Amino acid sequence: MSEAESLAKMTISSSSRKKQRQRKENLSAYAYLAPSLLIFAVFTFFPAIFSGVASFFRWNLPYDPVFAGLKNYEFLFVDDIGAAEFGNAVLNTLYFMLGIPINILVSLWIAVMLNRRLPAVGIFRTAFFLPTLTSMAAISVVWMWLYHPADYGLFNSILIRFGLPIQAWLRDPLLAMPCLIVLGVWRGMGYNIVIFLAGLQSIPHDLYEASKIDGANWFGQFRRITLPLLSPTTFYIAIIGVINSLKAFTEIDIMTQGGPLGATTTLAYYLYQYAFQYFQIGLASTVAVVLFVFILVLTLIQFKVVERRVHYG
Amino acid sequence: MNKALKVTISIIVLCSSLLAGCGGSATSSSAGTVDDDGHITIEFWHALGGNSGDVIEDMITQFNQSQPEITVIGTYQGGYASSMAKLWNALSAKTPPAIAQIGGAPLVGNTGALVPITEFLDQSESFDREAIWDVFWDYNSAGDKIWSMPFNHSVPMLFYNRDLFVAAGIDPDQPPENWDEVIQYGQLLTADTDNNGEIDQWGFNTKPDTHWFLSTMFMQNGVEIVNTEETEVLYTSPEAVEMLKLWGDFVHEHNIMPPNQHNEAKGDFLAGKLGIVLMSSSNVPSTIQDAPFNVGVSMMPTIAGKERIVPVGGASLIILDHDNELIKQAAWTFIEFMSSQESSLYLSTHTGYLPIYESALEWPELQNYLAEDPRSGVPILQLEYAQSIPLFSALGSSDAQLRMAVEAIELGTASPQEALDHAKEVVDNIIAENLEDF
Amino acid sequence: MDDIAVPEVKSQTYLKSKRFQSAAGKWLWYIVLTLSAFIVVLPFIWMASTSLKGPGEIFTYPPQWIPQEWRFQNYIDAFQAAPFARYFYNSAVVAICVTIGQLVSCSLAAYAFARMEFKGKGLLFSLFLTTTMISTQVTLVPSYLIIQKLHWIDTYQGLIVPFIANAFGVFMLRQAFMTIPDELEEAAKLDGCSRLRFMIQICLPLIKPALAAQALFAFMGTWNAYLWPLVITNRQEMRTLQIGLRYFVSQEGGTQWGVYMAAAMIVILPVVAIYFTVQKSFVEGIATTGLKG
Repeated sequence: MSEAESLAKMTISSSSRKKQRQRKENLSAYAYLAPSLLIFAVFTFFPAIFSGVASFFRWNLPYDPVFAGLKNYEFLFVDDIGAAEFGNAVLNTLYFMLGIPINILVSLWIAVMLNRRLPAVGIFRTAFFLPTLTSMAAISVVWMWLYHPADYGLFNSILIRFGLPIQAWLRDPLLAMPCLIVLGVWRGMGYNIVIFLAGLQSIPHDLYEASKIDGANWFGQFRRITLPLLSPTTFYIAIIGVINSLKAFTEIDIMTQGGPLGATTTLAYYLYQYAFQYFQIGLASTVAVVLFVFILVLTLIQFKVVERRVHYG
Repeated sequence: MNKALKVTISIIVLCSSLLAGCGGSATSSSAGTVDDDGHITIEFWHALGGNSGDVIEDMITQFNQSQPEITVIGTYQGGYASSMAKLWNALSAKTPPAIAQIGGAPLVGNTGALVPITEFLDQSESFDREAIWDVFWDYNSAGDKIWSMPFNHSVPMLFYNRDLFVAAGIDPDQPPENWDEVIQYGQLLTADTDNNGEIDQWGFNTKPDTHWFLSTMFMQNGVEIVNTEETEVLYTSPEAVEMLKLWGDFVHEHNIMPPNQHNEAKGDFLAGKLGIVLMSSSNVPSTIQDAPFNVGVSMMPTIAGKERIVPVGGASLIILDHDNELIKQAAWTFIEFMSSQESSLYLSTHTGYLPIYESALEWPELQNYLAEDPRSGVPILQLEYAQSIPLFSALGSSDAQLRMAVEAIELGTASPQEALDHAKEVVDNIIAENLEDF
Repeated sequence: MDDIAVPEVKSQTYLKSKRFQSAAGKWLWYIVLTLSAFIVVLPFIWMASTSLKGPGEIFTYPPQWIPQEWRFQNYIDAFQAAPFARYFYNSAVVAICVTIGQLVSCSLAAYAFARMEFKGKGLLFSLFLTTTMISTQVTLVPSYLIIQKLHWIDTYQGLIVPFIANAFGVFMLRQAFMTIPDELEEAAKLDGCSRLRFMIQICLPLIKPALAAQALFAFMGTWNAYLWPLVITNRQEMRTLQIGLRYFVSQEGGTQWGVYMAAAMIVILPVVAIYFTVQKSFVEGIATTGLKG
């Protein structure tokens, strides 16, 4: 073999070895993904595609489905009554999302406070987590008393003591959504606090030590170390915050049933109504498809715009 | 094959083999099984929880113990809404139970999933259908078939706080007979008891099923909910508008009812903050027990000078179709028992549901029960004025639209005519759609 | 003159001293936390108080925080009302299995996304993410049909298997895996450590807080699930605690609120206990991050 030939052979075999390595890497990765993918394929993707297809049918349980083409979509986007209802649901959903930044701020602040090794901190951490644990059905009774529209409801009795006018809260079309947002923050902060705590813990202590030696105060540390290193966690919380708030419906079902005057009917509740109260699975599927696209778009925007600013280890 | 892949596969295999081993085994037929020795076990899905749930379980046990051939297994499937959802899911999967309890069965009679009771009634020699109120048969029929067996029915009632009546100078033995009196008493009962400028005691309110009470008012004023062909709803007539306006007047004109606070109504009543409340008769025993004051129960008010009419509500028992005749027969035997006179007596003396038999008031056991507390008898007395609203295909949506119309009136965002016109438009569309398909 | 000056200076120094500031800081911390925690826990206190009341005391205004008559009987009634022990067992088995399943599947997938390069990575990640956006309400009917076809109605596998995968968990653990420095991996490779061993022996311990969080959420989510267990179980024996809880509520009157609240309290307790034990690991997580390693 000439020198040129043997050189060529070596180059070829090294690049084919690279390809081989990459292929092994691919297979390995797929193996790691396999358990999740399998479950998703059967219990998430298939049902989702099924529902997507169902959106082109009129399927009112317990009757059999009947092909209806784009009729359902027409109802939501074109029909006078349907589009009004649907548009209302979209607006309410956007309104409801205002709770996300509030939730993040509150949870972060509390997580920072709880991130210490002082006695009884475990009890405090459990206290802030309780709202997330309690069954919505049981706790709703309490919240309905807090928000009771008469002057003996807890919030109103406080307002009166300060000489302020009482409010109808959940029964007032303007206040109902803010009330649910507050309830949502109260319910959801436990979850976010746990994640923030986990994130805060993964920031190495030496960084704080080092900065203290450099003379940084608490605020400086927070801005220069904590926030940037916490950004992957914050990003995660923002993403799931959007997704979860767009899917929330139990609180609405129990407290306001979408009212008053449809003021608390979000896309998720609208979907729930059509699926479980009117049993119109076809139309419900259509709403689900729209909701899915909605969430997808919002998440993509977050990824494109925000992830650039996320600072990984 | 690399290590990771091997590990993953072995985990999956291990888990599935573990899981395959544990867990209960599915029954061969979802509705029931017939053993080799002829013993039949059938599944019954019901929607009653709490105290009523306990009572229905007791009745099932009584049935099982009364004879050796059939065993019924009853399971709670959530409230009416979730029981319906479960049932429809099961029908889609072709795995329904043998018997179920739902409201509004005739609405789905033509799906072929139910076996009309008429067949069994015609065959049965022992079951006396004449003895049951006609209104209940109407409520359970569509077309010329009876689709479900009357079981736990109710009527709307007026509940009032006798102590508050006395305090307001009203004779507690003279509850309001008509809507004018409701307004009159309501105004006496509405008060700002702690003088802080806000009303904290209201005279009148209703539970959230406002469509039911509004329908009562419609019926009293001669309004037909739906036409005989069942192709359109008829509540945009002047008589209907008059009634919805009256409802709105409770809030805006006479100031006896707070706007749109029906979710709070029962709690307020039990807390002594509400003088009069309209609720289903099924609430009678629990309200009497839970309230720390003297509760009064009376019939629904009428329109002064007009006939007394009330609608009925509640749920019934249905038999799901099945290939095996024995299972269907067993289901019928169970239903015969659950709607027999003995069972009706048991149900009505342990819960707030009505006895379905016309002769009920003559039963000595019931008379004893009523002697202890005559209030339980008032709903039964109202039965002779009961009429069934025709169960047309879009009834569920119609009820929802009426609730929304009430909400709009109470919050002052629409006039009665506008609200009812809107409701009619939506419901007529749905009816048209349904007619198209079927 | 000197005698008067000294105490003054001393007290000023003390006020500026770290000891005082940290003591004052501690007290402030306690006060603020206690107030906030109290407000947050208020509804829960109400629930606890109602769980000890008899029927006549529940709907009173002004509301009574301390029941006049303490009815511990409510708790006994709650336990006896339904086969609670069986429900408890079912809820526990299902929750534990789902938790283990999620930890395994999510760690594997998250590791791949965080630290491996492979064909279709972006696409697959998007695919995973999209599973979180799919509403469970509408997929309920087709999922039910699948379960029924598999004959998994009224079985543990029906309650467990659909939830073994969780994209939220994958995402969260991915973020955690991504914070582990590449140098560590290089070092391990040089030592001849296989990738799987690296993941299990080195990475997992480093992201313990995230794992603990994921375990907690998996357990809690399954423990609190109501709709799915209701839909795929028909028999009493296979039901879970949340369904047992709903049994107490009667739409048409007769809800025994005291017993219901007592039952609700019983249902919450295990998760509270687990959380209380686990929350320490969020703090005592890592002494080093391996930067020195």
